[in-house]
Amino acid sequence: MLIRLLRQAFILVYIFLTICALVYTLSKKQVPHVKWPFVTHFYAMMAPFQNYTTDNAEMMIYGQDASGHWTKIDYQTYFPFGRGEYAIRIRMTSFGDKKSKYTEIARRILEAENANGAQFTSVRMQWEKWPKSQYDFYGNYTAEQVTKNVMAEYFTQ
Amino acid sequence: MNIRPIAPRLKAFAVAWNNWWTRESYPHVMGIVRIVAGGWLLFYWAIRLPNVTNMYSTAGIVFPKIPTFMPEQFTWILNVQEPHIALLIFGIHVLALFAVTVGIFTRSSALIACLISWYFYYLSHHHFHTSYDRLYMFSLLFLALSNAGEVYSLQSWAKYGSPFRWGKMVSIFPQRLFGFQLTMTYLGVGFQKLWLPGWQGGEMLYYSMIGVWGTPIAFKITSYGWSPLYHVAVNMIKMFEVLIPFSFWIKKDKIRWFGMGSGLIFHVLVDMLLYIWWFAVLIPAYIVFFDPEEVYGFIKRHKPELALEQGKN
Repeated sequence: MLIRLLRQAFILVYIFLTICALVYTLSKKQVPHVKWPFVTHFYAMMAPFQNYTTDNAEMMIYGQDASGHWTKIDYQTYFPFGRGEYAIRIRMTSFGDKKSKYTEIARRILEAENANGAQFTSVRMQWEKWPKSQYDFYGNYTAEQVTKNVMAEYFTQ
Repeated sequence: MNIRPIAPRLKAFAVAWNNWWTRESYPHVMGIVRIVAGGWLLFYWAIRLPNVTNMYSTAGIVFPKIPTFMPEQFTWILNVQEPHIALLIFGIHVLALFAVTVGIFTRSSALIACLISWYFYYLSHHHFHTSYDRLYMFSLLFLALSNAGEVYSLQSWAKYGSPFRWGKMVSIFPQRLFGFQLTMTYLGVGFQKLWLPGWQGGEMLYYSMIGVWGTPIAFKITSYGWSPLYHVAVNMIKMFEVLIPFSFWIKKDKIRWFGMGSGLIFHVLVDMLLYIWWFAVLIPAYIVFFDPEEVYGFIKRHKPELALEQGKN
């Protein structure tokens, strides 16, 4: 009897939270008095790509040596994901204060690179953006078309 | 106004509700779902094995997210662990998924895998915040609530002498949860696209194909340039996603077969054009839209040796 009751309760709660998620999906309004953390996973299971962009963007990581020369560091050593997954993960959308996270990433990469024989004096993280090309992801990745936005830089102490 | 008929109507509704959600039935659908979901998740996690310490331990760059509902005294659970501890947790996770797949200690294994998935989600996967990570977690929860190890499992082999032999009916409840969630996933995704500004034209498809997710096949197609056909394709996607969740439940005139066929084409195309392969598992998961009695009858007619009933065969 208890199991039957629990089962029915589970069904009703599951349906209710799914309906809350559907209401938000359709109206972008939360059901009053239902806390978002209870609904968030239910909403996420029915959320599509929201929008598109006409630019490609990638968080590039560079190390600078004592002579001022910049070397590009392969992100996959530290973030072993495909291009799409890396692009989303590195946005750090889970956190309000992104700057401190990017600075921490730069610090960790600087230490790891130098421990592996590099002699960087700083590591920089910057978003680079360029118009999408119909032929290749990096088709329009040229000096004239790329815009850069430095997110963080960490220097050796 | 005569209100007397309300009581019998309510009773009939309760009986129908109970019959639909929780009746006892054949275990074969959930046995198949267990193998499909377990095997898929085993693959999904096992390919991360070379990067476990990088992704989940102090050896990598890991920023856990503490859920807002988590009491402060439990936040230590999400501390980033040393590499050997991370490997141990990951090893338990993979073992649990293996146990789910082969059907041994199914419920406890699925629950352990669900909890560890939750842990890895807030440790690392929250950055990617995808639908499928959540779907995978809930799938394991549904399996933990089920008797999915009753057939096609090591458990049934040990209990009845054959993995194809079964001995008792199981609740349809977890299967209905799967079906309900899949329906709502398609429904929410489809309806939202009807008015999301980005989804009002073919540009969404075109620019997605030449973005971070684009495959070589996608770039080959886009190399021919823009075409109004992208508008047609986007409208077809929306139409498909809005109609498909209803079609799954309509047995009449083979409408559900049409829906599932469309789903198959849709997911295969997505996998070919975008590096978003994680939803491909939904195709075999469509089996949850068939009643257990139908599936059992089908197996019994075509391959009776795969549906041996304890004490009868």
